Amino acid sequence: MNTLSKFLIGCASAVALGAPAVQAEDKELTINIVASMSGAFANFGLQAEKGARLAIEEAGEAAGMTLNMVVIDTESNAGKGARKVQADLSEHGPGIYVGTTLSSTALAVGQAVHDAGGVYINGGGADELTGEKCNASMYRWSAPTYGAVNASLRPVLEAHPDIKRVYTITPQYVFGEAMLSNAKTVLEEQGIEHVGNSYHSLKDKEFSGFIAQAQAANPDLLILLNFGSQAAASMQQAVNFGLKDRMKILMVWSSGLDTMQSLGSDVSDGVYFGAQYWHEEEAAGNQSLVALTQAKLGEAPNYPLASYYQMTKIMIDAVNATGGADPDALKAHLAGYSYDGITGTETVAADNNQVEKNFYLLLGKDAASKADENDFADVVSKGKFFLSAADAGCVK
Amino acid sequence: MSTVLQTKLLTKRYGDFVANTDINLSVAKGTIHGVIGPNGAGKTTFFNCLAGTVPTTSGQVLLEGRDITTLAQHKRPLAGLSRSFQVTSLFSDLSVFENLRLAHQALSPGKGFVFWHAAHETGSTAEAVDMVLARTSLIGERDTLVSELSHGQQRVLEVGVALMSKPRVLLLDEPTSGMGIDDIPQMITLLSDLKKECTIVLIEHNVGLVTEVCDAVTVLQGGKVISEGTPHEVSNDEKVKIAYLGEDL
Amino acid sequence: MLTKTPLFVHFLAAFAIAAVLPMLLPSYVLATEILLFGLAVIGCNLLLGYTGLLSFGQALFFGSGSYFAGLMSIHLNLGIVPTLLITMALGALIAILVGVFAIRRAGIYFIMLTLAFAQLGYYIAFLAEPITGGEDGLLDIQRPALSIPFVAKFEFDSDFSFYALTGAIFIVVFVLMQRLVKSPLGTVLTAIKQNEARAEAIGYNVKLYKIVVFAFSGSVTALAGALYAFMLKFAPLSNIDLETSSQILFMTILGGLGSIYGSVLGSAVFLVASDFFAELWPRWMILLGLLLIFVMLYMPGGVSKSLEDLFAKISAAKDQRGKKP
Repeated sequence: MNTLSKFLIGCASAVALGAPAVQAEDKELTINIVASMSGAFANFGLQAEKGARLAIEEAGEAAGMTLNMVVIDTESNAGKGARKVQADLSEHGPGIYVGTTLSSTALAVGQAVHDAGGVYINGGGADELTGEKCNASMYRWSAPTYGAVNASLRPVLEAHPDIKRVYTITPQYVFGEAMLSNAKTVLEEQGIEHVGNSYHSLKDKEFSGFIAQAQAANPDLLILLNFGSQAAASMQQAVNFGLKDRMKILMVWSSGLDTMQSLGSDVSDGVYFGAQYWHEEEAAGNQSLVALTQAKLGEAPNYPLASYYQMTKIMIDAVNATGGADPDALKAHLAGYSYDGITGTETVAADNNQVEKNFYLLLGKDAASKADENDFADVVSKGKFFLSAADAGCVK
Repeated sequence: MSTVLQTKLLTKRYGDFVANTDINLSVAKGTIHGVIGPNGAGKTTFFNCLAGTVPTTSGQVLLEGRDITTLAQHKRPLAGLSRSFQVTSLFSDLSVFENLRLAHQALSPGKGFVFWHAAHETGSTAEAVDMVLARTSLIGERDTLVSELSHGQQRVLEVGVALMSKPRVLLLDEPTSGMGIDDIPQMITLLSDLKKECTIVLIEHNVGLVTEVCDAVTVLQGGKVISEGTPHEVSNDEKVKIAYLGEDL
Repeated sequence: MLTKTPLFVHFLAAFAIAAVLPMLLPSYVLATEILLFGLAVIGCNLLLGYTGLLSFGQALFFGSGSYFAGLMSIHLNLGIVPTLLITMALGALIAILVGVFAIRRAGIYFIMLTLAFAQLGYYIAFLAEPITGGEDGLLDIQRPALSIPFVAKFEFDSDFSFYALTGAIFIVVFVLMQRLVKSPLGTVLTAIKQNEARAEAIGYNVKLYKIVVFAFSGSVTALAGALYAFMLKFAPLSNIDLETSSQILFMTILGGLGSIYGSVLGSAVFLVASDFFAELWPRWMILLGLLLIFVMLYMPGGVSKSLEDLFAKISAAKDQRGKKP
């Protein structure tokens, strides 16, 4: 048998592994959940998927169509995520896409969805998602760095008028730079001295050097502008160094419950955390989620779960409101749409598709004061700080 | 008789260890010149300097009067100097034909960079290869993989590959190394045959072969030349006897 | 011994592969990705399979290709052919630069040098945020058109048309590579892989040949990166990171070293298996890891070699049966 036939048959058999079954789509509406189910952010995707599933199972159907959930694994990789969404769009036509918190992935998916004419909502943190790189088909639920910094830093400064000197620790890349510039603006406006900043790379795990620099500068407030495991590690090391006794500490971009669970009450006690979501929010939109999560999963909702629940719910409600899944109708409905969300009243800004929602400032408490195992902190304040499309640089 | 290969005060140092010290060698054209000596005498290092495999520390190598001391190793076959290796060093997953063809291809500078047509296996290339196959009695093994040849055949091919460049000086490092008694006569015949068209310098341990084949012999010990002359002269030299057999005898 | 398959047969085979592939897959997008990564694997195979050089820096060429092509499309608006040709030339230049330094050392030091260059490329891309988009990647890349002066202009907006373009490029490169590996250059590379010392001794400037093969590898890999960026209309930072280098190596070994057909097979099996496993289980990377271990232990020649052996056994069995009295 010559090389040619050998190869063809080989190729066919190898590839036949992967050809998925054809799906019947009558009277069925697919909601595509884009999440990092594997790779560096797999733990986030795990919880996120649960949240989306809760929303879809709770609704069951929308506008007379049975809801079908499809999970697209980004593999924590922007290229992979973009390719899979593109493939999905080319296979199934314009659709509804929910998710991802990695801004690079969100931008790429947003571009692909916009080109194909679908609708997409995500939880990315980079300001440009509803700023310079915005588009008409992409919506963003979380508060970007501008809102996060303003909603957390301002109340801390208000609560402690004796803060005159502030030191920052910043990851050196676009997100970190945005956080830092927003922080500097607030400090300048308030007449507070920014005594110094330490940049670190995204690969750093050892922060004692930066913490020592912070200590030497003798600030009244240390602001951590990093996120994820780096924020947790720098917080842990700062507390180990005894910084809590000498200054206030604020972690602007925490994951809320997840972060505090991993740090524990001893570390979290007396520390300020900024968070997109807090499970003890009293608003009706959140209380129903908490009850649902407790009933179905026996746990309290954390940020990934809650954010994906809310984003999915927004889409399902939009389908119900417009009686179908036509992207243009959905977009028209979403413009200026206001509802009872998990952080209280939330409104979709018509000019840049940003969901204007509360961002929380939390104060960690000691173990003895906890009402239950998840009561790590009290809400100090919550606020909505968002730039208009013009100020953000968004032209849809 | 003219001198075709010459070294002047050739020295090779590896850090503090001196492998070759001030070696002067003169090889006459059309002769077979043996380089012998006990193990560790620096014979292979000397060959490596001659072939350009390693750079010299000081001294000169002259080929037909031309100073080739700093000439890159890969340019020496084209200059007329080829070597074979003591431990068989061939392309074992390729055929005998391909091994020889590659050596032939290297002679046209730049030919190896051609990527737009298939490698030539016929015509003048095949002729050149077949000639060497005949001389080394390997015609029957033209398409055999080197790894499937007997050790003796591989040693003969070692020489054959070096022959492809039509060298004027052939450096053979222990060509009969590991060969069985029955295969050695073939090598001796080949060497005598080759003498007509090129000068051969060879490292050897086989005393019988050296006596039979070499016109002149240089003896190395501890990196230095300790004796030189015809095989007969050298074998009667006291210094040589002590070098091989030790002081006590 | 050099086999005698005429080039035309390779052309037909490549054409058949390109024609059949999308029929077996759910979308043109995945088929496009398989072919372009097949090109990247061919680039890696030239170094590893044919010359014995293990490079962890292939993502540097792949990612650079993505960025160059993307930037040219955004700022210069040349047609597709000039854009791709220039990208290939730039890829070759970068590869030559890496090669000149890396080949000064052998073995593990060589590998570490390729890795170091790859990391350097990553951080440059990361920090040059105004040019490359940094962490966000380069967005809004448009696919350049093919203009034949006074005749026609082809745009590549649809998935099918872009697949057709990729398929055509794939066929051309595939055939050229088949020609290359049987050319004098190909035979020298094979010799270098088997016995570098002897290759040098018989008259080949081994260092120079290694640089040349680096140039070819870099150019083909950059081409693959360019096609990927045009496919996604986006050049992510991950195109130039270590994971992409590892994946390209993985596909190369999976498909079979020293086999151009194996290159496409490796890319197809890897991409399809990843998608397939990903749908089954979020921890699918474990399955992929197990697959790699299995291949390394039991299929050292890669999938292509195993398929060849399988068919050889089947033919032999058929012959045996035919011989019964």
